[in-house]
Amino acid sequence: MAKDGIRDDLLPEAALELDAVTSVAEAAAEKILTAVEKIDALREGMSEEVSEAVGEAIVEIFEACGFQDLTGQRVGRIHKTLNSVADRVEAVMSHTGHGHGPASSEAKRNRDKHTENVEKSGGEPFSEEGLLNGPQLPSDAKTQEEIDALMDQLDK
Amino acid sequence: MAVDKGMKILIVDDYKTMLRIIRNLLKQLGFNNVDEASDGSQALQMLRRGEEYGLVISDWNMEPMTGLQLLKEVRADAKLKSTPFIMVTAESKTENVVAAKQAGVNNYIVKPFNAATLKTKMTAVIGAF
Repeated sequence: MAKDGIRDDLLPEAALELDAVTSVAEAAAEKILTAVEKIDALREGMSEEVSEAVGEAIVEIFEACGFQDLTGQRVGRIHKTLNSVADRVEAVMSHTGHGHGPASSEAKRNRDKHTENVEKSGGEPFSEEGLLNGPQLPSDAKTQEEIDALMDQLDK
Repeated sequence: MAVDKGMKILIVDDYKTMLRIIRNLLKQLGFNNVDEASDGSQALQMLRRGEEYGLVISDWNMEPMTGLQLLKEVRADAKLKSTPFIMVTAESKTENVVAAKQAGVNNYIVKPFNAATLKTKMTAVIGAF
């Protein structure tokens, strides 16, 4: 594929695909939460034993729905990477005399659409603060126990 | 003395799904008096409106005002400075925990988290319930 095809089509389309992933995940999570809230409201009519068991299951579902938040944040980081790749492709094109200024209207439309999607979803993919890194990879992330130990250490 | 479960709790997150999850988890723990804000600046406005909040549970990574900035504003405000504050965030680097601690956070929960962790940290901050 030509470099301008990568910049103008492939990368913006990939960004839109990621937006779609985020939207689908959010819609699924909302639907699950709505259903679980309905079940929760029915617990009043259940026996104490059943209500307690249902309550425990409901809590597990609520906890699991947190995937949507972390998915959104991880997708945001991939967006940032894609933008960085697009900038580098543009730099290479300019260096070799193949640059043609601003992105094509189609690419611009896709980028604008992506920005609109991010705003709608409440996402925050482009933070530049040094402390805003989003979720770590599981192999790198601290566990709650490690965080607790660090907090205890800082208390001393 | 047992914690008053009617106390007002402010939850702050830019993901509406996460707000809904935390609200539901708090409900399961018996806390139903919950307000929501979508970033630090909205939360600060609500806190300064005069209603007393017994606990703030805040995300970190939000715009325009982050959870850390909110925490610093709260601790710098004479009327709000003693408000219990728990950070709930995916930011798990040492420097984040240190920065939050230095800013005066009462406890720190890393996402993904479960209800048991939320209860344990709330108990540590506001007392047994």
